[in-house]
Amino acid sequence: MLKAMQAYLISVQGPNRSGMVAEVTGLLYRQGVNLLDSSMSTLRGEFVMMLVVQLPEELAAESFENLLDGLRSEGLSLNLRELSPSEAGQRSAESMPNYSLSVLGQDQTGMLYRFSELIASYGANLTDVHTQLLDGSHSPPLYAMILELHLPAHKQAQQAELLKVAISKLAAELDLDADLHPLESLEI
Amino acid sequence: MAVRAVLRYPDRRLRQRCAPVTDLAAAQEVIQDLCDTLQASGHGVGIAAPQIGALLRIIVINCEAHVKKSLGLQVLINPVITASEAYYSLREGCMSLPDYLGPVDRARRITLEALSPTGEQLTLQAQKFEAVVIQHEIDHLDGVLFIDRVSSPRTQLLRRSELLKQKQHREA
Repeated sequence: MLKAMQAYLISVQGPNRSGMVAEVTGLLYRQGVNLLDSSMSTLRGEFVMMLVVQLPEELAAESFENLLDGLRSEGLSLNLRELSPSEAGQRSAESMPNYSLSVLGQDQTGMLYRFSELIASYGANLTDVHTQLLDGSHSPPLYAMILELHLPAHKQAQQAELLKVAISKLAAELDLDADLHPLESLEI
Repeated sequence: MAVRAVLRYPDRRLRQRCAPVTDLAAAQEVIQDLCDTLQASGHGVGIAAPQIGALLRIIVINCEAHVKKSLGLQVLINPVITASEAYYSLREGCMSLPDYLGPVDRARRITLEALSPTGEQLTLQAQKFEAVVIQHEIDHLDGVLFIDRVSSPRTQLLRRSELLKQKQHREA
């Protein structure tokens, strides 16, 4: 049987600049660290990277952590957490979203909180969250959110209808536009 | 008549531009094999000739099981999209690239021209699901896989917020 390889979730962030991805992934590559899934994005002036990596057998956890310390001295903030084999082995497909909620309206504090709390109370799990304050040419500024969520299969049809109603109610209360729709996928 | 194996990426034939069909008689075997392979795939709604290793501009679609008023089984030879409008995004997957789904922007309505297997000139209109299938299959004829067209969450967010704003304006 294959020995379960040690896996980590690393998050790295720092002021956005050209070459940052190459610097971090280059460091990992030179140590034989294998990248599994990753998500990276610019948030205002920052670049934020989240990576799930697998260590080669010959690289001890301690040396790996020391290696990453090098990035801290480059002005990047860093966090890491070891993943259990079951956490690392969970495939992305299992957290594939089946509904998407888009919300738009005048910016107000607590928008994400109110919607995410509601979603959780219906037993759904948020899988991807993207929000953006549209403060460029809008006065007062607008706020846009796209929340992708997974409703477990056994709850789907009925629960989605109930959630849709609850979302409309919340949107009316906050004077926002919100639309929950199934994420159709097409296996061609 | 034969069911052929569906090629999977990284087979390089999936990345090649296919040649137009100039000899319909010689293409009949490929057409039959495409129909048989699509049917045998069970859930398949479309297939392109390069997916069975034939580098010719032929696609076969059949969205009957998914669309009420579908075009049915269509064999489209040398298909060309002549008009497209109203873009939207669906998550696509592909028999040649299993285990991956990604959001792709496609035209919601298209008009296309193609030849039938008997050489008849066809002009067809398709929408939504069926239009997406046709665009996906025609991409295969140019060596393009859907992953080349996957849009980023950021693009989607901006586009969807744009759509919502338009809706607000209309309702105002």
